[in-house]
Amino acid sequence: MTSGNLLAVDNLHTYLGDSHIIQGVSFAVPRGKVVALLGRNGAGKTTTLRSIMRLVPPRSGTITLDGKTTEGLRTYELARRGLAFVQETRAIFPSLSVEENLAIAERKAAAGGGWTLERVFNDFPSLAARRNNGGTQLSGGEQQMLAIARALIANPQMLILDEPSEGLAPLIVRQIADLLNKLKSEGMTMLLVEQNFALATEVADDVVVLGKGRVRWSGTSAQLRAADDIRHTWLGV
Amino acid sequence: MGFDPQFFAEQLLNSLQFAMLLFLLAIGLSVIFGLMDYLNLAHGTIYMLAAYLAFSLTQLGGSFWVALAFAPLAATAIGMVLYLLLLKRAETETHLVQVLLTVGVIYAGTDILRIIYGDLPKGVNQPELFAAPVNIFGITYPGYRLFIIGLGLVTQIGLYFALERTRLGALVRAGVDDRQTAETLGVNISAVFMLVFAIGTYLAGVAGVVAAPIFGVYPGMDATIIILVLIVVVVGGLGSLKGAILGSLLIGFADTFGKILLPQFAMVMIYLVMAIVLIFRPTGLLPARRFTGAG
Repeated sequence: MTSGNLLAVDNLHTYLGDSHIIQGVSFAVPRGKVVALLGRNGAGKTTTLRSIMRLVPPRSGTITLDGKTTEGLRTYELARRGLAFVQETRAIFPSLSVEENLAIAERKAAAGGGWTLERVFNDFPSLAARRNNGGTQLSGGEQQMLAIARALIANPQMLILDEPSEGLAPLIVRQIADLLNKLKSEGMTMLLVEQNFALATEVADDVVVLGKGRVRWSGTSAQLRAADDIRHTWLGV
Repeated sequence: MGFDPQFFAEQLLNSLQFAMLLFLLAIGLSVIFGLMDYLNLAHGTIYMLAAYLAFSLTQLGGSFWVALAFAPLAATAIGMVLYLLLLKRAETETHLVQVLLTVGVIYAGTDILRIIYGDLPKGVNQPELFAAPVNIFGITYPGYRLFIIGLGLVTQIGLYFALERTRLGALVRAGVDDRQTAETLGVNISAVFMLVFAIGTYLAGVAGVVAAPIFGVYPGMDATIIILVLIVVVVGGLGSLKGAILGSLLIGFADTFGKILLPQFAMVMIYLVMAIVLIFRPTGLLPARRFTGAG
């Protein structure tokens, strides 16, 4: 249980309507590691994440979680098996209070993790102060914190984050980076999609670069920082 | 005809009583739509079916209370089977397909009940407990109609607490807000929906049983009321309890007073209310946030 790949994507093909968005993507997320999925807009990053969560049905290819295929599983079953997805839109429920947003996601996992409502409010004091507020009365940064806290309280095996820094002020982005680094040091496995190159390579062990629906490069964060041609061609940074 | 306060008070209570009946039907239709985007007009068939079952139970010697206890349950069971075998197929289809399918169910249901029970209206006796008129606000008013008002109020309060104060209620609100996100958090929305569908269908059955002593039981009673219920949902706003309450009050009053003040234009009054609301609030008065266009 301590090594090997927690998540493996093999030769994934996904269509949105008639468009062939994901064209044979393969990569793996080892247990306890952080993998960043980088690429320009339209490279297929979000669609890859949504395929993993089966919010869009993959056309072909296999996705395994903990060595078992996820074929035939529904989204809620994947969540119950330990995948926690923080969407780009944060997707806070406007009709629910901050506390209710957390409470409906709370789950005790066999693997532990120890996240409870008390611990969330202890570690995220800004949420504690607003526990009875409507979910969408929060600022953008607070909504992102709530979205991450709501993922953690399910005590997942793995966090899947879609652009957690998007649209946030630099100070808040720093807080998000610190939080992700802390989770990483506690051994949380993560798959991270991010436009913020500095943040992504700071947090991630490994990077997979996507371009036009295919894997164009993969390696460590340090290797990518040195690979100028790859960055220019596929990331524009 | 001068202003007669007693007559006015009586009509106010009649409006309230009719509003409660509309509410019992509207809340199911509204939340079923809010959660699954399913426009289920066969909801009206359940109302009619429960009324006929109540008629049969009372014919077999059961009291009104036996009918109220069992007819909605039986209608709910039939409604669930109908959903799982037929209506579910249109879950991912457009609203037009859903309307065509469920209007088909209305026609088929009406004819099946007509074959079994015949064309003539049937009666269900009101319970003896509420047979006596009650003195209230200086008028004598039928006790049974007050019972319906009370039943509606208790249901509204019960649903409010269930939706706002329980975990299941939070799951329903989350599902109405954003079904996909609820699924990513491990919520089995299909299971939540089946439970909501069962509760909504049950309340439609209750409406059918309590309406039977007042309006009688006849083929097509579902089509008559489902149009008003649709207007309630449109005026009140989709997917919300408060919207269903407010919408049913407005339409209950418009219908009752329309029939008194302008008998030839009673239906016009209702459409007028709907038109005015839609001009100023195209999504209805108090819809769930997903339908306001803001959330």
